[in-house]
Amino acid sequence: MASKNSINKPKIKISAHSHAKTLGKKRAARARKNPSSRSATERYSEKAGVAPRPTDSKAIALYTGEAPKPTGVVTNTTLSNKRAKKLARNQKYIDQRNSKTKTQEDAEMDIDEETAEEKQTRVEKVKAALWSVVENQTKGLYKVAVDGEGTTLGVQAF
Amino acid sequence: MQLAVQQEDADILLKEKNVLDESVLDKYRVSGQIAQTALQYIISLINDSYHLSKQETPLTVQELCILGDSFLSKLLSRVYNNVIREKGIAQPTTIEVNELIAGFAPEIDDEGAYTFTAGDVVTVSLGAQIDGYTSTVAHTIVIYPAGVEINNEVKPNGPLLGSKADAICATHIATETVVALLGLALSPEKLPAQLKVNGSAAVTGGQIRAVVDSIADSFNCVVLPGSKVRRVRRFLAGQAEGIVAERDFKGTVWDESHQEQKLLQKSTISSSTDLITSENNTSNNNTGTSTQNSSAIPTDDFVILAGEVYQVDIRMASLGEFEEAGLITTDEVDHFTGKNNKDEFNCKSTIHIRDFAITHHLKLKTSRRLLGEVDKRFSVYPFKLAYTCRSFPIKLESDNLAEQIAQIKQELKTNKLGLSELANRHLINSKPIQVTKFIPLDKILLTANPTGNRGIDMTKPVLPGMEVPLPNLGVSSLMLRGLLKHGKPVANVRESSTVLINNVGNEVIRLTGGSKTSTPSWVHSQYKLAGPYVEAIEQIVQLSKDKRFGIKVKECQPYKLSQTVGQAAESMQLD
Repeated sequence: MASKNSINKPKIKISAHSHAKTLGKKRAARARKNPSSRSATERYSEKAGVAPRPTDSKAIALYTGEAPKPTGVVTNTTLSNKRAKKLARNQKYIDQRNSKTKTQEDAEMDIDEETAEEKQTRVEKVKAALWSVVENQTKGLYKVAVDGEGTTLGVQAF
Repeated sequence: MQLAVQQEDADILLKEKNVLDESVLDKYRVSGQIAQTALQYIISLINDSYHLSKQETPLTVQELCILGDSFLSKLLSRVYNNVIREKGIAQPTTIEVNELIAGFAPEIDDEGAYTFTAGDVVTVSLGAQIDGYTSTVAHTIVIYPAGVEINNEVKPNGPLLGSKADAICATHIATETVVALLGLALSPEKLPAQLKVNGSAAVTGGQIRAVVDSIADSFNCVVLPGSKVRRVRRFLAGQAEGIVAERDFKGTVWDESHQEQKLLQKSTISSSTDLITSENNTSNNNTGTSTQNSSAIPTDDFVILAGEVYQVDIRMASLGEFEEAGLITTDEVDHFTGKNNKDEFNCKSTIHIRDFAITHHLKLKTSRRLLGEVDKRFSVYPFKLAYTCRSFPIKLESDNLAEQIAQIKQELKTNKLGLSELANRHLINSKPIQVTKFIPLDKILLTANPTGNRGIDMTKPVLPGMEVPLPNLGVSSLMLRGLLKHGKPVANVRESSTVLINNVGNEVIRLTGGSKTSTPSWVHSQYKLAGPYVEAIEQIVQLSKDKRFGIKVKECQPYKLSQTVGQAAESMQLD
């Protein structure tokens, strides 16, 4: 391609190119931001908030791990383009703020491991209780009472 | 993967088609009759060859299985021709001896010498479906030693004693009680006062569990994992449990976690009761939230309603042989020999079921042909490779049974090749052969379990939500599988019967089982029915005795076994 300084530079071509580039960037950003489609996510993935496609089946007899979440809140209000942009921008800032506080909380959570300990003690409690069962069994505490009469079923025939 | 089914179609398939009108009732009834007759036929074959010794060489399990399946096919071929699209064997004939619990139906070309010896308990289970309306049955009989002749009839010398007898008694009583309890759904006001929760009269899953557990306890038995009392719907009779999960599952299911809970209840440490209650609360909460997402996870909070069909499938084993505390779990038998330097029982699983969620373009012509046939003929029901052979079903009336069987053996060879490709591509799943084993509790408690409950044993078919067998101890199914090296085999007993609660005729129709085909063998247990629910159980059983007392129970009668079939089996000279 001709250089920027050349006399007969293709001015239109260059500007069109840069224009297309910016458009492409915007499109990519939008695609990244919007929720991914169902086909793009795995069946059992954690990201369960994927919007179901209209072609998704509403089969009842099949178990897929989770039922699709109720979607489709109907609204009549229309948004102007400007207002929509404003809302989106604000939402971006809110999300940023929220994620910041969340990471702080997470850091705090990591410091105390009480939940893990509690779990450990619970399993230990269960184990202690079951050991007592083992001991009592060897002592013969759980013998089922034998009845003198007993139970007879069936008749003398093959 | 999801199959695209419109909501309207789903409503028709799941709701309308399950309304018990006259035609549906008749289909259920016919399938019940066929299952009953086949059960009677197989039991008569076993009696002929092991008790009455009418044959020189007793029939092996392989032969009994193929004869049973042929008999089922023959009966099915006579009904509902050109009226409905689908009918067939809903469960291949399986014959499990002692510790074997599920899936044992060796193909005819299996060379193992599977015969019975005196003192064995043998469980025969099978099922038939007509237009998706399914009846299954299982019954355990005892193989007695050589009998005595009384009034020109050979009869057993004495009743079976010991732990197996305990299990038979408990299972029989539990099955009869549950059938009667299901019948009470028609008139819940007659429910014994003891079983009413907060004064409300309704038959719930919790009651079924409580009653069955108390019966098992009083006979020193354990309700085995895999036991269930579950609702049956058209095409949804539990044939693909562990492979395809079922939405709106309704039923009480037993697994290892319930044994764990019982052991915890026994404990004398005071805090253990808190452990159980806290666990119960959390699990209830869990299930409460999860039922919103998908009710494929079984819970006990359901009410049995009139107009539903239930399968009562209760399996028990006695703890009488063991001194120490422990629990009973199932182990999958595979065909790999020489593991653990032990001489273990090995067998290839023979019952397969199509997984319709998976599609694949197959390479081999034989496998493509096989898949087409499987899709067309067996649909969602399990099948054996023998069913795809051209010589199947065996013509039981003809004299050349040995020739026909040899022919099937030949045809099996070609089909096997196709089958392996289907299995490799997961187009079909094989149902595992399972055995019951007792694991001492101290071995479980002594194991280091640093990784916790992560690790699911993929070979073990479990219902969703029941992946962790011992949730309180945090032992995963993979860990439990590792502990099976300490396991001791334990004989089990199974009774299964399908019960239809007919809201139109206000009667209970027992499709399978009952006094005609599933009478208990002659056994004597040293225990007697005890526990908190004795009076309630006696009351319920009393109610079902006669329709004047409360519940009208009708049993499906088997067809009369024709003389020709009987003779064919007698004159059969195999090997």
